[in-house]
Formats: sequence, structure tokens, C-alpha cells
Amino acid sequence: MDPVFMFDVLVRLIPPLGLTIALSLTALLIATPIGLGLGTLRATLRDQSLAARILDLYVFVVRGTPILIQIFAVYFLLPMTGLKLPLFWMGVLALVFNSAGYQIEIARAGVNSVSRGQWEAAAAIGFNRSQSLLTFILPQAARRMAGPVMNELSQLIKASSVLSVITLYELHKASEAIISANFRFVEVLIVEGFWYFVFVYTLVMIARRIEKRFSASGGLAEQR
Amino acid sequence: MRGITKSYGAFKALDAVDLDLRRGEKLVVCGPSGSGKSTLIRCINRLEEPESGLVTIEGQKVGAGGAELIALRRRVGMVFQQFNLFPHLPVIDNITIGPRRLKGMGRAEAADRAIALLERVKLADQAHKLPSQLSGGQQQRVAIARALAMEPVLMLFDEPTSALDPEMIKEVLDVMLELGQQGMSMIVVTHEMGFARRAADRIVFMDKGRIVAGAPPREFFDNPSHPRLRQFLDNILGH
Ligand SMILES: Nc1ncnc2c1ncn2[C@@H]1O[C@H](COP(=O)(O)OP(=O)(O)OP(=O)(O)O)[C@@H](O)[C@H]1O
Ligand SMILES: [Mg+2]
Repeated sequence: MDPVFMFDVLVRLIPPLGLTIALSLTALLIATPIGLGLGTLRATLRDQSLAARILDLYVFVVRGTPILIQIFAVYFLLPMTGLKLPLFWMGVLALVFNSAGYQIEIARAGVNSVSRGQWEAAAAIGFNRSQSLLTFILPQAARRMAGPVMNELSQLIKASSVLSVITLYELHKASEAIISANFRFVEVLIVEGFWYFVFVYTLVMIARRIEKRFSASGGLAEQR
Repeated sequence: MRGITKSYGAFKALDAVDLDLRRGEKLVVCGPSGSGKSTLIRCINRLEEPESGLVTIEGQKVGAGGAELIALRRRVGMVFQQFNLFPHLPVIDNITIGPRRLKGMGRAEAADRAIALLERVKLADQAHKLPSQLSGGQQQRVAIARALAMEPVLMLFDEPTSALDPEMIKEVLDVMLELGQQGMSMIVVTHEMGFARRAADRIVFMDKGRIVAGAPPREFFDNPSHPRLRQFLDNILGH
């Protein structure tokens, strides 16, 4: 292994890392509110309702197909509908489509994990359903969702590497390009992996901070 | 309540039940498991929606939903077998949140009243703990205080001591007994026949979704009118 070469790769991968960060953070900021919002909505819908069926189908498709296919679907199918998006936004859209599906499921499971007795106690006091949800159910569900959501966010970042297949010059695509020029797989992949790790780790640390601040303020405090 | 009927599929959990309660009356409901006791009291505040029948409280009809039902629920307190306290809120907030959010009561006034209620259930020193830090009996007394905070005209209890260890049953029943002596209208589903004998103005016995017997405690126990009730009392009193 050649440290000088690896350092050179490390520096050369910074601009593509920037694109990976931009793609991931943009997708994350869009997918999280949409996914968690729709998942919460899903938990309050009756299973037979049309909206519930549509959401279930969406989650089923996202979970049942490889992200590679989802990305190609956005890349090839979207232009056929007449919608022309810049490549960057196609990438973001593919990531949002994927991550929102998983986050719907996370929020639905989180809300449903709060016992029916909590809804009943709130109703018996005289809270309506939306008040009950906001005041009693979501604060309890949020605590249970925090772990899975963080997990999903790191999945999203790593999934962004697959966007290399639609020629987005992000971290993984750039690494491939370097490899194809000199075939030094191991060294390049180590550096690439290092950058992903730093990014994911930083994000997880920030998320932990936010979570701590929430529970310190009592917003999400719960029995331990 | 008049002609209350509730089915689950083809099964009639409640079969055209009629029941009247005078103001300040304390009614105990007993009967074998599955006889419809819970369903009965849950139909009163519409946690279960009956197919037919009519519930009126102080002359007001309990509607199927909407603002009227919500308003009515604020005047009917309910205590559950499993306590159902809000685990993410300290005891005091469990009690104040209803008055503050639903009646627009100020923080200080709500807290003062919550402390007074906690004194009434003998838990004033536990106000700032989380529910999970309390024993079952203490949690159930907080649940009673929480319901009382809305100043209900009627309190419903669904087997409030069934999930408790024997030592804690008495502390909860004592609070309920005192509440009754202060004139609260109460409907209590319980198997605690000692409590029924002391506290109830009237005891009704349910079987298969119907009220099959009802009488003041002495008559109820000493002179059971229905063969099914005799059998039930024999079992429960261990003769
Ligand atoms: N959600 C439900 N779906 C189907 N059947 C139900 C439901 N809730 C209650 N039942 C049935 O209705 C009947 C009456 O139930 P209920 O809970 O009122 O009985 P109970 O007298 O309170 O019994 P227990 O002493 O066990 O609490 C039971 O046979 C029960 O199986
Ligand atoms: Mg019951």
C-alpha cells in the first residue's frame, strides 16, 4: 500500500464526497418529514381505507425491489412521462422514493407500538384523536422511532453510492473512475470507505446530540 | 341507558341492556368473565360504539361522535384495569394536562388543584415522579386523581384492582370508598365483594350480555334471586 497515493486519492475524492453529501442530505431532509408524516398518518388509518392500501402498496414496492431498480426506474421511466429533471434531482428523487418507503414503515410501527390503552385514556379524558396523537402518542412513539430512523439515515447515505449507475459523479463513481485508470482496487476502496464512514459517523453523532437535547428538555422523556 | 346492544360479529356482548343511575348513586357491576361488564361501561362514554340504544347523562343524549361526545367525555371519568397513565409525563402532568389543554386552565391553578387531588389519594409526595417509578396501587390512585381533575359528574371503574397485588388493593378501594362517601356517582365493575357490600347502593349481576339481577347489597348477597347468580356467588365467595 502506498500512503502517498492514498493521500492523493483522499484529496481527489473530496469534491465527489461533496456531491454525495449534497445528494444524501437533500434526500434526507425531504424523505424524513414525508416518510414519518405519512407513516404516522398510515397508523391512524383503517386498513381497508383507500389511502392505507395505497401507502401499503408503496411500502411493499420499495421494500420488495432492489434500490438499483428503483434508481433505473426514475432514470428511464420519469423522462417518458415528460418530466425532465436535472441528474442531481433524479438522484435525490430516487433516494427519497426509497427512504420514504422505509420511514413510513418505521413511523407506522412506532405509532402502533403505543398501546391502545393510551388512546383510550386520552379519549376518556376528552381529547380528540389529533390531540391524543400529538400530546400522548407521538412523544412515546418518537422515542421508539429514533433508533430505526438513525439506522435508515445511514442506509440512505450508503445507498447513494448506487447512484453511480446513472452517471452521477459522486463518491463511488469517482472511486470507480480512479480504479479503472490504475486498477489499485484495495487502496482506493479503503479511502472511499473511509469517507463514507466519516460522513455517516458525523451524522449519527449529530443525531445523537439532537436526541439528547430533546430528552433533556423533557420532550421525549420516557420510562427507562 | 336504554336498550343498549353491542355485537362482535354474530356474538351479542350486550343484549338490550337498560340501566338507570341516580345522582350520587354507587353501582357495582359483577358477573362472570365475558358477560359484558366492560362493554357495558365502555358504551357509556362510547369507547365502544353500541349498534342501538340510548345513553343519556343528566338529560343529555350521548351522541355517536363529534364535539358533543368529546364534551361529554370530559364530564365522565374512567379508570382502567391497566391504569393507562401517560408514561412520558410526570405524575403531576398526568393530572394537569386535561384541565390545562381542554379547559384552558392556567399552569399554577392546575398544579394547585393537582396537588390537592394527590393529597386526596394520599400521593402528594410523589408528584414529580414518572408513573413507572410508582407501584401499581399508587399508579391506580394517580389514575383516579387524573380522572377527578376534569371534575366529572360520573366515574366509571373497570376492574380497577384486578391488576394489583393484594396489599395494594385496599389502598385503592379506600380511595374509592371515600370518593363514594363524598357523593360521587360511580359505576364500578369489580369482583371485590367486600367493597360492593360496603360501598354500593345497588349491585347488578350480568350474564351473557344481560343484567339478570339487581338489588341493594344485603338483599343481593343474602337473598340471591337468580340461579346463575347463586352459582356465581358460591364460586366467588368460596362456599
Ligand atoms: N373487540 C372485541 N372483539 C370481539 N369480541 C369482543 C371484543 N371485546 C369484547 N368481546 C367479547 O365480548 C364479550 C364481553 O366482553 P367484556 O370485555 O365486556 O366482558 P367482561 O364481562 O368485562 O369480562 P372480563 O371479566 O373478562 O373483563 C366477551 O365474550 C368478549 O370475548
Ligand atoms: Mg372486563
